[in-house]
Amino acid sequence: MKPLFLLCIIALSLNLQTRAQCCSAGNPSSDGGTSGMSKNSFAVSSTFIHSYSDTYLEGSSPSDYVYLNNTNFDFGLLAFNYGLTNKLSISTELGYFIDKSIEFSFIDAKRKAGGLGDAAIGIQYHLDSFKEQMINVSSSLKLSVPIGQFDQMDGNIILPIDIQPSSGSYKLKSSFMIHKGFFGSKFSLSTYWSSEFSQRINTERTDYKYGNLYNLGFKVSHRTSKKLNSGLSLLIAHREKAGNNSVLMNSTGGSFLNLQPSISYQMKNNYSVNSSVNIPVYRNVNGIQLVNKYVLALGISKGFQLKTIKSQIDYTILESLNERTVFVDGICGMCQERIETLAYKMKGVKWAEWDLETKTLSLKFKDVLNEEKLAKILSKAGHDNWYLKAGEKAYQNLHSCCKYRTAH
Amino acid sequence: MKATTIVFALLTLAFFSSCDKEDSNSNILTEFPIIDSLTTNNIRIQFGSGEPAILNCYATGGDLTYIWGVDLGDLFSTNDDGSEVQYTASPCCIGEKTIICTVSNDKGEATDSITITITE
Repeated sequence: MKPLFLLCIIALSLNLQTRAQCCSAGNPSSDGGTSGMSKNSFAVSSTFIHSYSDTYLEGSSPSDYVYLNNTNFDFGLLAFNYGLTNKLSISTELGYFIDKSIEFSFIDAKRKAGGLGDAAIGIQYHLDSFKEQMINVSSSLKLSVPIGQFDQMDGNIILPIDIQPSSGSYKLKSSFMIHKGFFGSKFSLSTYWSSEFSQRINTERTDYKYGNLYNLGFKVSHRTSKKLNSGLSLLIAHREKAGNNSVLMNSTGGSFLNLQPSISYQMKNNYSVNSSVNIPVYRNVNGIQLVNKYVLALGISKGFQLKTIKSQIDYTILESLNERTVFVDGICGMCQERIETLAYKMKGVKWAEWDLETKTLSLKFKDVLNEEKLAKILSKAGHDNWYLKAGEKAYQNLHSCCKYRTAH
Repeated sequence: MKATTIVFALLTLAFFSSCDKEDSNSNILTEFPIIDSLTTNNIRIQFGSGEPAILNCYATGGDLTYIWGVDLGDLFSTNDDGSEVQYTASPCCIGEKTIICTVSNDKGEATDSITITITE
């Protein structure tokens, strides 16, 4: 019904940045978030992440030092996004470590942990003040809350913090993203900055502060087809040194450069799958550290368009109303929301439904419908229709994922 | 009648012997745990696995359970009752680390800590 609805979301978002964190507990870092959520749209996504690390670096060079043979984790993230308005959306996340383990090189022992990690709540604000240049600007704020276990045990040993499922720390992340479409959004370029600040953990057992994390990312996306979107991200991260007992720890933090190819595919019924792999290109760590070899992510999402207007309709009276079906061009769920909302503003209209496949708007109305007025309203909003073609300026004002002319 | 008497006697014997066994488990005399000392053979160790610190917790109180914890670094239990552990740390743990040992039984718990310095 709205096959490109989620693709729009995914194309605009920077997806899940799957850098895992060595020597740091809690959910893997995620960036970008979801932008382009239209009003009353709701999306549920589930992402599986696998990370594997077996390489020690000293600075930027491989080190012969071995303490752990490897570390790895399997992690699941459940996220919900809801568009309060076309500009403002809220999100929640819940992380769960299916398995998190380390294998020592000097003793026949393997430490394992698992369970709830951290939860997060976020708010994203979408600025669209540069529509003519097809530039979208959004910002977000996310608060991570350590709801999972931070005192998991192995026998009579309380596990150290780097293998605990929860980070044990509140974290605040602010992000800023700019997205520009080219060739009617066939190609797009995104860039984002983010900063993550961690609260100091100060308990009887632990006095620790994770180093602050700064990210800069660039992503090139290509809408290969109506259903397929591919992208390549260049991710730059800098993590400051962590602090223990008020002293900065030498072998923590560093600078990281990763490439992340990603692909997303829109399926039927608003389902979408996406996948990415995080490939290290350059790392320069402080001291000696175990670093990621690779991180894989596989996700599935489903979008919903919640219609508050239609829920108020008295369906029993629809049978007696006049009917009219007209052509209105559009491409996605956001187009549908806009077209139907405009139709409901017309005097006498009691029912409006736009169909993506046929590009038709079905109307039920009392008395007479002012068709010319409706056509003008729709064309001013950027939608070609049975009566009028939208002007170039109005068309360019459409959200980048609604550019139906280039997608045909 | 005679057979019934023998069966009854055997059942009575089994009942009382099982009671004795339960009593022997629950009647371990315990007192509030007291940690006499928490010691290590090496208060400064180099990062890595080459020279682990061995820590021993000497406590009294009876029927004791030992729980060990440290925020960074790795502890491994090295004896059956858990009163001895081995401590090593990776380079990310350089600096002073406080290892906490909690000893508990049905009367309560006692905690002590010791600081180990991890060097380069």
